Amino acid sequence: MNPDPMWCLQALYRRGNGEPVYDGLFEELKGQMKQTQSPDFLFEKDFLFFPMCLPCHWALAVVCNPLALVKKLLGLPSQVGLPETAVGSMAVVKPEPAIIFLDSLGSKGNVWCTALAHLLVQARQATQGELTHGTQLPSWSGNPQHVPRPSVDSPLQTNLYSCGDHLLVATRRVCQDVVRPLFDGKDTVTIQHLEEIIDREWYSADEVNAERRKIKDRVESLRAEEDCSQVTDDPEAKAVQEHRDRNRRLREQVQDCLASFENPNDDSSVVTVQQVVISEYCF
Amino acid sequence: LEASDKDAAAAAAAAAAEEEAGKVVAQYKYRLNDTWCTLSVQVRDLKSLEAGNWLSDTIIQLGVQSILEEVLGEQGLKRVGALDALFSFCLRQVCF
Repeated sequence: MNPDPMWCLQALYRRGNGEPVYDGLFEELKGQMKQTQSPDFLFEKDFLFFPMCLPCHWALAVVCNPLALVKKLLGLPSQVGLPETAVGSMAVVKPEPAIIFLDSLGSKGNVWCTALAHLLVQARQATQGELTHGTQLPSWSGNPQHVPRPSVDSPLQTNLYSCGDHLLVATRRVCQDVVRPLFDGKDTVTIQHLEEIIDREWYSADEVNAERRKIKDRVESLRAEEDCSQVTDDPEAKAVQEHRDRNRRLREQVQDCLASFENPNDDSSVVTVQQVVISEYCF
Repeated sequence: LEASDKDAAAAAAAAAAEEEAGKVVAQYKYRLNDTWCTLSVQVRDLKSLEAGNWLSDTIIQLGVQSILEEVLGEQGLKRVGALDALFSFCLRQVCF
């Protein structure tokens, strides 16, 4: 069946006003926390990497100092930029709270970053016992201006399929250029510093191509390591796999929809459709 | 063949293709906050990767986690977390 494109897009993008979408969110959040055992997992980290699956597109969000970010959003005091803990004799400097959004189609991701900030606030409230299952959560009221973010233009993709490869290179470069220097005590992480190092030339097309080769090699090495003819019987792993399968089918539907827009002889038209979709809903 | 037979044959072929695409070819186990998590790479993930197509969420998750391990090492990994790509579907529900 070829689904109606407009129906698919509307189904994906319909607003949740008045609909019980928050219960689903809470269950997801609980599931994520159950996997990690510690409910404070999100706020014990200095950086959170969040691969974001937009419709037919990947982008990367990196949350710097999530606990301080939530405190800032809630108007609570925080010792940003100062040593907050000590490991052995080494003082640990925390990054300035921010959300970095890296999109190879060039969107700024205002809505996504605000939603992510909102989600972190809710997660914090949940871990602090302020939120229980069935609680009526407030309606969406986030303001993009309130979320601290560097203004960065990361490298752009030049074809229709390499958004995932860009995401992986961006992950590597954030680790190398931002996270590692902070952990090694060689640099701090501030919004200004991020704006200085991330630009359109931050990494090359060769690096993007190399990243796909690396992930292929990684999968091949995993294949060689063990016989996977017996699928795991772990019920949690099965549940995650079923969730992935369900989302994949949904995404394939949308891809079919977008394909119905495109002219097969003109590759640029698909990018245009994606950009239209993203710009309509994300800016 | 009757139309219903053709439909049944097509459905059976589609089911067989789906089963083949869902076969697990590799598993990746990683440690997340003292818990072992497992990612199962299916035939469909691998085909898309090898064909130069869009990367699946399993491959993205595997890639991100591998890079964090490679660049930051065991100690660095304690201060960094990677949220599952599946979570963004949930976020989308909140946004729209």
